[in-house]
Parts: sequence; structure tokens; C-alpha cells
Amino acid sequence: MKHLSPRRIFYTFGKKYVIDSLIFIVFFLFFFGPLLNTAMLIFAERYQAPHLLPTRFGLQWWRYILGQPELLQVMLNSLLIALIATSISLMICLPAAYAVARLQFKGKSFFLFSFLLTNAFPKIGLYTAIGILFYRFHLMGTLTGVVIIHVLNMLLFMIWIPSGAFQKIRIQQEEAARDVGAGPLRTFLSITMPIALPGIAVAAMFSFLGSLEEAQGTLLVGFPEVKTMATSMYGMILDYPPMAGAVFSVLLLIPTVIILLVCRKLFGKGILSGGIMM
Amino acid sequence: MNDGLNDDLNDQINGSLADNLKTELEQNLRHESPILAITAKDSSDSISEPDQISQTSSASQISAHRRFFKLWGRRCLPYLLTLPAFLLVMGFIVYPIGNTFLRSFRDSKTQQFTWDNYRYFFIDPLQRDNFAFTLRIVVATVALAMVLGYGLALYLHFSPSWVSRWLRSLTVVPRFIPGLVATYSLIMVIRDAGVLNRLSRLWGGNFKPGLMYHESGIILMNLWYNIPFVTLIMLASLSALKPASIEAATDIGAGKLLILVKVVLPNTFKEILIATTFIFMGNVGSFTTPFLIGGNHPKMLGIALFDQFNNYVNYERTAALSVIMFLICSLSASFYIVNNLRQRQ
Repeated sequence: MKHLSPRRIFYTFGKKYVIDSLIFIVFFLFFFGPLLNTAMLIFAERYQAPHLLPTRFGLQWWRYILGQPELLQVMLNSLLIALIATSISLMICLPAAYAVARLQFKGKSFFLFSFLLTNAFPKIGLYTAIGILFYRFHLMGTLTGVVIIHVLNMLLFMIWIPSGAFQKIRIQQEEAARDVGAGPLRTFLSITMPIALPGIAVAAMFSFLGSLEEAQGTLLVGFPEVKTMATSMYGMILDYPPMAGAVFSVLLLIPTVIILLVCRKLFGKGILSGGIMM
Repeated sequence: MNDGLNDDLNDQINGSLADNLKTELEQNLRHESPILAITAKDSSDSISEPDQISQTSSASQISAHRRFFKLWGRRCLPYLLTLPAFLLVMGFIVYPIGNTFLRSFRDSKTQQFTWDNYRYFFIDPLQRDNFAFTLRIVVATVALAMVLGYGLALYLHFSPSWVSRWLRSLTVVPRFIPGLVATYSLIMVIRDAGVLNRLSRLWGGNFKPGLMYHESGIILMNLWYNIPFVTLIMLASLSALKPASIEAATDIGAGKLLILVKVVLPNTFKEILIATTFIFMGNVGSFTTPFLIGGNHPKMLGIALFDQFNNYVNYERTAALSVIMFLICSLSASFYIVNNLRQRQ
């Protein structure tokens, strides 16, 4: 026991080492402890109060969750909504992003201003404002309504990041293509687009992931007709035993992890730090 | 092709009018000025009157039209490109907010102008509790997240070691964890039969954290999200800070605290403001965390709003409350907008 006394450790390893380790432990326990605990619960079957570790392990809750008749539909909904919303916002926002980056026009600041407006106020206030109108236009509880909410969430990101990418392309590169006879469309497709692609991919990736985990807007506008993985998670947390939530968390995380890994492979490590300020 | 057409024109029409036309057309083709384009269009209409030249003039008309559209297309292009996005924002952001604003002053039955919807939120004791509760949580979250996140960033930046290298890459992770998964995981730890309680029982105690259904639980969850965010922003800002300025301060004998106050803080002030406004805005309207961790009373404004909308179905009061929330955020929102617009230009 004498060897483990704090003072002894402190003087053997030095002050900096001890402080470093303490910071690391506190950081790790706070940010990753809960996640690791959840990871453990995935394979728990019995997890009752006095015991820190599950008393029986097994796949019972996997069978339960995967056996839910609604599950497939819910997963499909999530992916479908994310896919549709991301494609629509790509189609709508990329031209706008290009215009903002490359062309001068009257009302540009006002245009940008109106976009920042979407992110400058509490989302929930915006959702209820839209929801009131959705009731009038019978979009409440429809896939269209949910997709509109998701597209709105992506707008700013999809304009800001790609337009930054377009801006970084040197105009001379485009001019060189025009000089050897490429038309404007060809120039755009074979010069501008490939260079801007990583930026666009970052935006699309974040939008897609954001859509997959978007819960409050979907709950407000779509529930109970349109259920996604994220909105089902509310019910899992509130009404089911802990293990069901753990298993469901993993199902929610799987697409995120896959997409992140693929994007990292394709576009490099820097992709993870994109767009913090949005 | 064009030259051939113009020669034809020349052959068939002799006269000063035709010559004028020809030069106008040519100028138009070269300079593509909008006024000339319009006159060329008009004049090509006028020369189509004589029968004998109708065929050739219609050909030149097409070419003139093409130029005309090319020219105006270039001018309209930005508007065409931004139109879909603009319409979307107008239809689903600006119009709903405007509509909400008007509706918040309307009586639900008589449709008359009234302040009652607002008065309700300022007079009803439950609603007043909600305001105080929300502000308390938001202020605590902002203050704690800024202090801890900034401290962590300072440590990571100024104290290179294996720990800071690891932590740097780990701070990115919470951003990618879906909110509900993180909330669920924290609940599993802090609930009264959660990990903390079970740990305390190992040593014979029975510690009930009391974090669930309490503001401290919500604050804890907010910190889980916002500390890494602050740290990332501040790290970016600190890496732009020149080491020379710190060395200069050290050379003239400044201590660590003095350097922090006089050199580091002023240089990162803008990012501090940005991070503060972000956290503030994000937490005033937070929904998921208080929905799952918060209690029945008092509630955060996001939940109160959801109740008005979903359970009481009172759209006038919903509208009034969202306008109030917009107003609470207006200061930070204007800073956010101005800052982003400036960055763009």
C-alpha cells in the first residue's frame, strides 16, 4: 500500500504527469464514461439496481428490438427522409452557393441575411410557426412536411460550406478551360465541380447525418404518422427498460459511423472538423 | 453564317435604313450591350414588314434573340440560381415568422387585436417560473461551458503532451453522437438507480444524485455538448495567436495570469463572443434535453412551447411565446448574423 500513496506517485512521476493524467481521466469519464456504459448494456439481459455490471449477458434485447414489426419501416423512413432531403437541398442550394460565391448581384447581402435568419433563432419556435401553417395546408403528419423541415435545417449549411469551396477555386482555372474552347457548362462540370467536391461532400455528409438524428422537428410535425429512428428513441428512453434503449442507440449510431468512416476515407481527416461555426 | 446573312440583307435592301440596321446588328453582336440588343430586336421587327425579305430577316431575328437571351441570361443568372432557395426561405421561414408575429396579437375567438396572449406569459405564475428556470439554466450553461471549455483549450494549446494530443482528437467525437444517444447514456449514469448510485453502493453508501428532473441534470447534459464545442472554437482561435506576442510579454516579465488577461483573452475575444452567442441561442430553445431530463414544473421554454402547440392547441399563445423566445434571442441573433455576413465579405 505504501507504494500507492498519492504523494509517492506525485513525486515519482512528476507534477506535470499527474496533472495530465488527472485531466485525461476526468475528461474521459465525463465524455466517454456514459457512452461506454451504454456500450456495455447492449449485451445485458439482467441489469438490476445494486449491481454495477449486468448479472446476465445475452442477446434477448436484440431479439426484442429486431423483432419489432415497425422497426424496418421506421429505419426506412429515416433513410428515405434523409436521402430525399439531402438531394433536394443539394439541388436547391448548390446553384445558390455558386451564385453567392462567384456572381455579383443586387440583394446578395439580403439573400445571405435571410438564410442566416434560419439559424439565428430557436429552432423550436420556428418549427411551431411552420407547424401552425402546416395545419392549414394539411402538411401535418405527412412525409412532405417532415422533408420540408429537414431541408430547412440543411439550407444554411448547404449554402455556406459549398460557396466557401467555390470561392477557393481560382478564376484563372476556369478561364483557362474557357480559352481552350469549353462552354460554360463543360467548364463547370469538369473544372469547377471536381475541385469543389470535397466541400460539397462535407456539407452533404453533415446534412445527411443531421437529418438522421433530427428529432424535435420531426416529432412536432410528423408524429405519430411519420416515425423515424430518432423520434422512436424518445419512446425507447421514456417507456422501455434500459437495455432496449442501448440496443436502439447502436442502431441509431450504425449509419453515422459508416458514413463518417467512408467520408474520412474518401476526403481525408479534415472532413471531421468542417463547419464547427454553423 | 452571320456574315452571310448580313450580305444577303445588303443585297436585298439598298438604302440608308438597311445600312443602319446592319451596323446596329453588328455592333450588337460585338458589344452585347442591352440597349442595342433591344433596338436590334425592335428594328428586326420593323424590317420584317416587306414580304421579300421576310425569310432572311426572321433568321437574323433568331440570332438577335439568341444574343438577347444570352445577355439577359447573364444578368438574370444569379437570380435564377438563387430563386429556389430564396422562395423556400420566403415561404417556410419568413412567411411563417410573419404569420406567427401577427397571430400573437390576435384573439383566438374574435380575431381582434389583443395583448392577452403576451400578458398570459408575464402574469401566469407557472409561466413566469418557466422563464426564470430557462434563464437560470442558460446562464449557468453558458458560464460553465465557457470557463471549462476555454480552460481545456488553453491547456491543450499550451501544454503539449500525449494527453493533449489524445484529447484534441477526442473533443471532436461528441459532435457526431446523436443527441438522443448521448442523453440516454447520461440518464443511465445520473438517474437514481444509475451508475453513480450503484458505484456508491459498492462502498456501502446509497448516494442519490438527484440530477434527474432537476435543473442540474439539464445543465450537466448541456455541458456535455457545449464544452467540446467551445474547446474546438477556442483551439482554432488560439492557433492563430502568434507565439511571438506571448514571448514578448514573457520577456518584459509578465506572469502567466497577466499574459492570459492582457494577451490571450483580447486576441481571442471575438471567438469568445461567437461561442457565447452560439451556446446561448442553442440552449434557449433546447427541447430534447429538458424533454427527457427535465421535470414537470418548472419547464424550459422549449417544452412550454411544445405544450402550448401540441397539448393545449392554443396557436395564439404558441405564437406569442415563440415571438418572446425570438426576442430573447434577438441580441445574440443579430450578432450572429452580422458576424457571419462580415466574414463572407
